[in-house]
Amino acid sequence: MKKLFIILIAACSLCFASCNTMKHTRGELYPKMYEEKPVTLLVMPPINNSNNVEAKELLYTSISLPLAEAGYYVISPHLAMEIFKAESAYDAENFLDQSVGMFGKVFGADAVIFSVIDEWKKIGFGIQTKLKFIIKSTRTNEILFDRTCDLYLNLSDDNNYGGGLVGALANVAVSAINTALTDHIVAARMCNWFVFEDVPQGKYRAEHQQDQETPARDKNIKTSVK
Amino acid sequence: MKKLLVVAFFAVLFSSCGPKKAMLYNWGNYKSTEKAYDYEVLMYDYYHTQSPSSVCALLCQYAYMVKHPGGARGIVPPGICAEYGYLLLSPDTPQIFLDHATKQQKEIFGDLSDYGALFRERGLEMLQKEMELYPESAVFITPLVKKFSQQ
Repeated sequence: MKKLFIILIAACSLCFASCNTMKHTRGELYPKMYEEKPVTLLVMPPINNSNNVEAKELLYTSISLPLAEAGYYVISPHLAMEIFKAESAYDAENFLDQSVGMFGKVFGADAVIFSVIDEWKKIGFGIQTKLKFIIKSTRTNEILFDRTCDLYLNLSDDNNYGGGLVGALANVAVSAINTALTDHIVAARMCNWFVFEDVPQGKYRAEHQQDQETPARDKNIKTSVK
Repeated sequence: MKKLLVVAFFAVLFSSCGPKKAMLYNWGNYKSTEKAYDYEVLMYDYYHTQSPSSVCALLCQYAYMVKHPGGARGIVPPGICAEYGYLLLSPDTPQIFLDHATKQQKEIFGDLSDYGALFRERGLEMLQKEMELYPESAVFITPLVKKFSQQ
């Protein structure tokens, strides 16, 4: 019985140690999201500074689901791309430091999402990605949400992954690794889920405007997952 | 008794650590081989290959999602009706579907010799539905409805 208590205490310590990585709250990190209350989000084509040409579409096609699940109306990236092409607005880098007000008028977007791929390559037995995400208001041009994600997706065989969301995402990734392309798709999905894990919840979630006190990870995520 | 205590302890511990949110929408079946929802897989395939088979598969996926809304909200996810409508209304889609859809895929829309009229009607209907479900989409959907109605 004594041994049992020791094990329970050790498990308890481990769990709370991992919970303590959430030192902030959503309200502290992203107060402007609560002030502006964006409903409609427009995903800009990713800015790709890496050498991986496919990274752009990998990220672009996987970004809307986690945001829709966070309660936002996300304008279909596929449809938006058709309009970007027609309006020659395909290069998001041209708008990163400029006013984005026009996207409010054309699309009815309250905010636009920029993503910058700084690194996306195979290293050792995994994939290293370094991404930056910015949600910018079309009304005020202010940055409402920003986060960097430095994620290494470890594709080696041992199963030593952690708990919480990281563990859950790792479970998603593990054994999904069938082809080189699938590796990259999994990496893109994981990055998006990580980055938007702590986004204040949108209009279609019951927690909308009520999750200011919800614990959140640092703005800059650096992690290795399996 | 000991086992029961351990199980109960860990159940409480982990339920408090990782709040799991219910999905708001139905994105199709979860594909264990790809570890993703059907919609994600088929959308990426369509976007990446633009192949006739990817067009047919995505059309059928949209049809399924519109017919079987689910999740906590019980309605079609944002953007899906718009994408579906846009694909149905794209000029090449009826012919691609006629030439490349499997027999099973054709059963979803009926075995027709020309899908033009059906796709046009349903496409406009889907764009309208997007605006009904998500009024905030009207700003960019209205010009699309106008454009396709004039064609």
